[in-house]
Amino acid sequence: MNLPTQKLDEIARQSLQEVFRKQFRMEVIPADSGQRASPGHPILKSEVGWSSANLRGVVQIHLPQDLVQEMSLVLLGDGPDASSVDLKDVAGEIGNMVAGRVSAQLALEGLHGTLETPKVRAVNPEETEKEKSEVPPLQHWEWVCGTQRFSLSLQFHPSGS
Amino acid sequence: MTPKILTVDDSKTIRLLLARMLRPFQVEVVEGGNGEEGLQTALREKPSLIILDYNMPVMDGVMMLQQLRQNPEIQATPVIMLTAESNPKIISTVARLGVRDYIVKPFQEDLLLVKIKKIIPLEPKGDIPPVVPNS
Repeated sequence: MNLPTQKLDEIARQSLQEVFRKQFRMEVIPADSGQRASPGHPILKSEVGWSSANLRGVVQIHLPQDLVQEMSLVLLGDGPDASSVDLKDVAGEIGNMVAGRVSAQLALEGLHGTLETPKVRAVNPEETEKEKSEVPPLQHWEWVCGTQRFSLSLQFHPSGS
Repeated sequence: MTPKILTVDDSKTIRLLLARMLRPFQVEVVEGGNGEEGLQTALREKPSLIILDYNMPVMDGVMMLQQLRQNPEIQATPVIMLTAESNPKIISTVARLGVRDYIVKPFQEDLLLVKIKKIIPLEPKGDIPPVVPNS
């Protein structure tokens, strides 16, 4: 992956902002380094694989369940549709859309890849912090939407490694 | 006769979103959770239009489209792709398979409605308030 850090920053920011604005009418801003997610809040981890001829990667988003609930309300309202929604499925679709935009931005840099279907699981904030320290992602960003803090990580490595 | 739209997406969220978006119109909505279910539903329901995702387990959108085009009963069904995937090779493949439009997620509901109306009539039901589009 030969993209400079600054370019990956730009790709992450543009991808997130496009999805949140266009589909959810929500604004996201980079989080202050001092801000931390509230302890104990359930987190949904949405992960989408990406692969090209020479590279494999993953786009990960850690979303507080409360934020996913808010986003679900924007999409489906609070009518009959909302009652049957599965928040893991909503988180999966958010991950799918963000990964789709990341993939489109990478294609503009000459890196053409395809996406896999999203995988979602519930994690606790402590587990999330542990994962970050044990397997440092190539890039990791913290964001705030309203009062909710969430993160986006991109990991890429050569195919076969 | 009421037009019928088949939505095929592994995300129930997207299927619910499309059903909500189409509720104010005189249209029947049927669903499939992957390409295989979509194909079976298409054969059974003979929809006027299919809104189709690409990335799905069991059978993806391209494979479903290929099989749809090989079946004389349903091969002429118009298809709009609605997917997060924007790989040019995939767009080129589905274009050769005759999709009527290709919309990349995230998407604006009013734009999708315009694309649908180009293919089938969407008459308001009259008793349900119009959708507030996410534009």
